[in-house]
Amino acid sequence: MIPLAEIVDVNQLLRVVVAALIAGIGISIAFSLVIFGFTRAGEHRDQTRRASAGAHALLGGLGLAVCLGAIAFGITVMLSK
Amino acid sequence: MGNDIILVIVVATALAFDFTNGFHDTANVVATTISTRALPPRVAVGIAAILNFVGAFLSLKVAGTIAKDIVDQQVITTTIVFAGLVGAIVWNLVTWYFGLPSSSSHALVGGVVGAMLAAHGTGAIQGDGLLAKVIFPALLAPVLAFAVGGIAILCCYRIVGRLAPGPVNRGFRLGQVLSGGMLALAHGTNDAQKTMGVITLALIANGNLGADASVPTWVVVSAATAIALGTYLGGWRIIKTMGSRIIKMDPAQGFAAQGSGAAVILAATHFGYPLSTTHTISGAVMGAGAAKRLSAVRWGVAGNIVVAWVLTLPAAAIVGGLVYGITRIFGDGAAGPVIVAAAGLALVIGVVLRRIQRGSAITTAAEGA
Repeated sequence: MIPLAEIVDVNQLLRVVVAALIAGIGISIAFSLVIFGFTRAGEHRDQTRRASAGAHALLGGLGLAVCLGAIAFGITVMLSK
Repeated sequence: MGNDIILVIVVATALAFDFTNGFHDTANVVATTISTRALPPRVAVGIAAILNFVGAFLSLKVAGTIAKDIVDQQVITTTIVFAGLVGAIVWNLVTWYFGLPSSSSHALVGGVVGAMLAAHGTGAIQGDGLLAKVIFPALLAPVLAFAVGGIAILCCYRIVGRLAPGPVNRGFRLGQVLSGGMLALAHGTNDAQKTMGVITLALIANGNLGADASVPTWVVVSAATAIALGTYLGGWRIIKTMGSRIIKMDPAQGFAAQGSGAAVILAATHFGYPLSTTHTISGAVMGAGAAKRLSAVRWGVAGNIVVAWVLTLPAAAIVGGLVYGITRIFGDGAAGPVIVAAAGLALVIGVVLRRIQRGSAITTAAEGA
């Protein structure tokens, strides 16, 4: 019986697993922060808590930047296939 | 003349496979989007169809081989390819009928493997390649996606758990539209390429193209059109399975499943390790459901899906092998493929006419979440 390590590139496999975990969990966290940040920013702006609204909007903006970057990366991956 | 007839049949069969690939894999893109009411059903499949069409044009680096490192490329013939395609189409239709998501790519590999076994025996099959490129990724994809989907939804709930449900649900529904769009693009890129590769290979083998020729425009357009049409018709039975029969999901779960699934697929592709879209998204759906509550997942349905995955390679191989055997009864020429293709076409027309007579549509409309 041929050992699995001789058939499967274990290093590549580990890279795929780590990258998938980071990408999959990361995009979910980033998008959740978009929702959280902008929702709270809207609530606090209504309550005239400008500083807090600004901070939450910034958080939402960072999350949005990560999401847009992920979309751009995804399209790059497709174009380079 | 005989070779030209076989070429035409292979091209037509490849486009038919591309069409079944489209409606079979629609669920990966739209199931969660529809079940959480992020988009109306027809809008969802319409957008998916358009993006599949566009995706087919994104990259034209088609593989000039089929089942590379799995079957001996020196002895593959257009008749073997034809038999393999028929095996894949039959399995796609069987699993569609039972509403079970399965990998069209694995079905194609299985069909070709079966036809090669019938033609040349086990010596033409590279077992290491089959293990490394098909079986191991088939095991990895759903397990990895299950874990990622499960962790992702827990993180989502942790972050947005104290917000009012209205903005949360609206936000995640919008997220699903975006993640679904990415999946549709990726599917069009990956899967239309396979059909382009099959047709290009057949053209090269028949002497219509040089070995280094680029993919003809008509091949790109026809493959893109076939997969888009299939996507638009939509495999509603499978959409219903993935969208609501495995779990009843909320928009956050829908996004976690689809978004993390898309991220897993593209990350793996980036490292040159393509995973099955169907296996990944199905695993992510189960993971996002199980993380919220283990009993929320209908494990019976999940079990049926896993059985379909296990059977994909051998079932498609059996049909591919049988079809090859039948074509050989009529000799080496075009007669075998012509007769098999004609019989298949007659069967399809018969089924369609019977359905029309009964007054039901070919596809069943989604009932919504």
